[in-house]
Amino acid sequence: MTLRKILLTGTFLAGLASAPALAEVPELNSALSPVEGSPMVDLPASTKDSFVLGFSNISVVNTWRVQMVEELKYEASLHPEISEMIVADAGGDVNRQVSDIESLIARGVDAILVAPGSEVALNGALEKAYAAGIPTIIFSSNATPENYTVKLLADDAQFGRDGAKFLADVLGGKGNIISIRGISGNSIDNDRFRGVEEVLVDYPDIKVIDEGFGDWAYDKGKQVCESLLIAHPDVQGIWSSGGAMTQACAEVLEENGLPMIPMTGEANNGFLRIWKEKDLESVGPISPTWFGQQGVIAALRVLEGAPIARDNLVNPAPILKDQIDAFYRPDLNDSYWVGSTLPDEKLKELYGK
Amino acid sequence: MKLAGATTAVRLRRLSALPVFALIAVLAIVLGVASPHALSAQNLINILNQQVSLILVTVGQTIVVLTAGLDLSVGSVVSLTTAIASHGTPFAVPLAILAALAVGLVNAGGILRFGIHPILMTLSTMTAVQGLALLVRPIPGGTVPGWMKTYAGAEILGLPLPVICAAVVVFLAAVVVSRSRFGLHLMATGASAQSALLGGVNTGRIILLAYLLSSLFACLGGLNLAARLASGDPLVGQPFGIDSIAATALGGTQLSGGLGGVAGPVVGVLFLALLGNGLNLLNISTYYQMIIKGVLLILAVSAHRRNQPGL
Amino acid sequence: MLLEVVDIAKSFGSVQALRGVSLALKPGSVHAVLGENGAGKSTLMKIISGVFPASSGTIRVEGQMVHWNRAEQARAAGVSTIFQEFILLPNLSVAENLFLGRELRTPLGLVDRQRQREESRRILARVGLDLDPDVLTGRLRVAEQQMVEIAKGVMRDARIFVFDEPTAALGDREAARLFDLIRQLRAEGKGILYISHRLPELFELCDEVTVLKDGQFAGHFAMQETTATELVTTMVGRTLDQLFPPHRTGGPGETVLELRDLRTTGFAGPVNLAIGRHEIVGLAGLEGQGQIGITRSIFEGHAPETGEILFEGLPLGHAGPAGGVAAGIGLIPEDRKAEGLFLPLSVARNIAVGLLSGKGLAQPASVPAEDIAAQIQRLRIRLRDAAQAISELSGGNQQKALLARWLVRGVKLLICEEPTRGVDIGAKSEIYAILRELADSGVPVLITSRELPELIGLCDRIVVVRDGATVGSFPGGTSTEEEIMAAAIGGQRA
Repeated sequence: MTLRKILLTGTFLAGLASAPALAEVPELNSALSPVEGSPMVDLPASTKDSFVLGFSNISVVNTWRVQMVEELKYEASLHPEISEMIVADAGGDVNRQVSDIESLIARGVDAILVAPGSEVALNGALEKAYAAGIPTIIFSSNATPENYTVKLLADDAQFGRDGAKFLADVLGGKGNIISIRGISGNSIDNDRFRGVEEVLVDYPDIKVIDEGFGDWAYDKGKQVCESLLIAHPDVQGIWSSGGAMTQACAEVLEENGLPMIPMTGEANNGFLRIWKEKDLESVGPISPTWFGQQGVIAALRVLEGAPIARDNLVNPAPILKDQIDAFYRPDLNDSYWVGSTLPDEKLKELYGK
Repeated sequence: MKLAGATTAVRLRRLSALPVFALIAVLAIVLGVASPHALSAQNLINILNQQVSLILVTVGQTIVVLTAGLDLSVGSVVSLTTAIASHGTPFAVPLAILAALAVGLVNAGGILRFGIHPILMTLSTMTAVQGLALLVRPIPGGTVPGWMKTYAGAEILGLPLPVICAAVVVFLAAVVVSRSRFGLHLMATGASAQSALLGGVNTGRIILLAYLLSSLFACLGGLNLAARLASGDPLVGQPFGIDSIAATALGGTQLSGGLGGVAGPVVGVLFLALLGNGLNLLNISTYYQMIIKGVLLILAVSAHRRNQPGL
Repeated sequence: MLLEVVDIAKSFGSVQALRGVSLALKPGSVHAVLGENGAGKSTLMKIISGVFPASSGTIRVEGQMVHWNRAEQARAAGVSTIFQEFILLPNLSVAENLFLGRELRTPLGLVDRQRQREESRRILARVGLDLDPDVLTGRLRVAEQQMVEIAKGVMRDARIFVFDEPTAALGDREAARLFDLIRQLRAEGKGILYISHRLPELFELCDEVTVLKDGQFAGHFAMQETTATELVTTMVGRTLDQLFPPHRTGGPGETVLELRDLRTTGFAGPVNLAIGRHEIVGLAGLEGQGQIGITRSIFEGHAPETGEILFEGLPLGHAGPAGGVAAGIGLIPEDRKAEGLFLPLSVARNIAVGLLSGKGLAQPASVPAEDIAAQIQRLRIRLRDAAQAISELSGGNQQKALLARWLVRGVKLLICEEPTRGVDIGAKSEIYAILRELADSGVPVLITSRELPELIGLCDRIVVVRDGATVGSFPGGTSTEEEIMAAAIGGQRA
């Protein structure tokens, strides 16, 4: 159970500090939109002047998550009304994440932000928080308690749909593909692949002939891709659940002297670089890291009594080949996830070459 | 003979857990100084609640270790239990218990009937049962019966029900191991199965019971975990095998068998948990934490020098 | 009759361990079972104590036929066995050991420590043992552990006690105490079966004796009507005076090993000792007077506190057993099983160990079959084949294998601590002959022994050690036990 305390003294910039907090309730990113039929949150505004927020994160196993947490911390530092932002990292153990949430409840935080590690395992703890009157903000991946305050989710199926549509178009509606998936059983991966299946219903001549789980990692992705490509050297396309796996696949093709075939990617700097360098046929669905930032904003809106819908989805348009230069940051290293809201200075600190 | 003043059997057994009690006391003081929140009742209760499953598994492991055995399969049993319990079939829980007992039976059978070394035997069942867990539930999810959720969330006098249950189970196990005939026969079997047999101990039955209990405790740990997470996960038990052995050794139970008890290993679990918790509070990276844990484990275990007679 | 064993046979696979053995034990008597190792005594004892069943034949206890498959059944029928390897559990207390398997319990079903403690005190007092029942048995001396074993039998109201070489690990005073206890048991009307190699104690203690030879009944005698010579002859087909080879008639030869003013840690010293090329020298003395310190100083060469060791005229400078081996010294340790043998390995491997020292780690560990076969034949090691695990051999054959280890290497000095401990008489005489043969061929032998007759019969010279000092030297053959003892005890107690 991590209770990493980050005592933020706040950034007392002369002009900002004197402005009344209430007038400054931040808006959610316009890419987030309420799900059709979602009720509005109807909690009364908090009477407090300053808030202690708690964030329970499942892990920081990859740079996407690291960046997401950084965005959260950065956003929190911008708001003087947030007196303390407690970040607990469960190290990938859902059992620990349950304790982390219970611990945050016990400490009486004003709102709990959760990036869940399981769709069901945390429900008990989240219900407990809700019952204790603590607003619960679920974001980035899903959890399914009956009661919660706000959910901010990417439509992960959209990620799959974007990729599958791209493959269907570029292959002319016909061909065999393999799919390199993320972590077996992970809700994000399941949803992404569900999107693929939805699209392919309309393209009966495109067949997913084999799949493997590369955990979104470079090394495991490379192994999986290699064995799949050895088994099926004549596939016409690769659908990838993203992460560093597409880059790994491109290298496998190159090393084995196979022709470059269309494959789907993800909007991360490393992939954009490979995409550009190898002139791949690809598409880059975006999975925004600014969930962290939006989580803080959502919590503030709830606490300040500003209007916010209960269920929100983000559907950013994927990056297309001719848009690479608009997103690619040659001054940052491969780990950077494009579309960040972090200031340049912070990005350079994290991803400087 | 360093323990010159403590030559009685009962005192020796009590002494075996001494180093871990000393360690946890030191750790508590350090943490108390370093972070005021670390020793808050709520934080401690939280740690306890989080460790209930590992505590239960460790109690079973200790029983096997006392017979000079080892049970690597407990982690897979935990996983299998959560997989079955979350399956939504009417008799999920009894089924999970039966499955666990079957694993224990196979372990003991292989060891007793075919003379397979405990490590190899339980390594084999660990692998096979892991496969079974993945078959039952390839991906995490499902849901557990309502009463299990109620159990996991209930509190009595501010204490979580799982913690109270675990305390009762640990107390009973400690009494049985240290005061009952079965416990004594565990120690006898562990020190020398041959001598125990000649001395009138039915060592076969003791070893069978030990592995059955180990699997049963692993199953209880799995049920508790499934209740807490309200779902099943075929891989969730993986760390339990090694963790329970580490805690057992840390708690002063000799891996060569015949000496130790339940209290020490349970404190061993809490020590490792509190250490992790404290290192997190002190903001020490996970990688360093692993190194620190490894080094501390060596230090703690080497504190029980094997200068006990015949052990 | 308390116990009747009639026409017992036992075979292990193709090996016939016992054939047509009969024995009758009267109440209130001590009945010795004598025989060479491998004669079948241990097998017979194990059948009587229920460890395994006989292949054929009958056992009757007080006229009742019994069939035992487990030790527990024999115990329940009143047979208490004090095995050679103690079965007390070192990690349990005396009380826990006494009550093992039949614990007293509280109404709650837990072990009633208090009542066990009190009962234990009572029983220990009955066998004349003043021990804290809570103390760990692992902390007890061997003699005390034996007494606890006996107490266990007394507690269970056993009628038959089986002792398997009980004095092998005891000092004289402890042995005397054990004999008192056995006599007490006899007076109480118990029947005692007593196995030992030590003829003198049989005469001291036993009423009758059954002799086994090669798994068969070889004779039964009333102790008062027989002689040692007759027993030995029955047992090995050889008389006692043939046990030792004749002493050397020529001189000791030039000095090979010399210890000058040697002091070993923990003893006053000093040791002054010289051994000639053709000599067998024995170290005599009370238990633990520094004999082992001397032999190990020579073999392991750890720098003594003062003084020096000259080997073939040069100071021994090695540190550690490997150095001793390299210098050409071989050692057969006192504790054969713990320090000498690699029990799970084959006889051939155990012998070939002698060839390993001095080889690089990457060199092959050769097992020259011919050389080993030659030694096995020369020493008449009795075994199935050289690949057999050495743990399956009798004590005498194990000891011979250790001798073979050094013979196959070829040593310039052999040190033999307790050369015939746990070795039966037949093998004893063979080992003595080999040692003499070695000395004759120019390899001097230094032995330590607790048995004075052995020292007198075998050695050319007996050097008495007291508190790490050499205090006297006696010629072999003609000296008496009394004069050696007097020197060993010195002025302190005489």
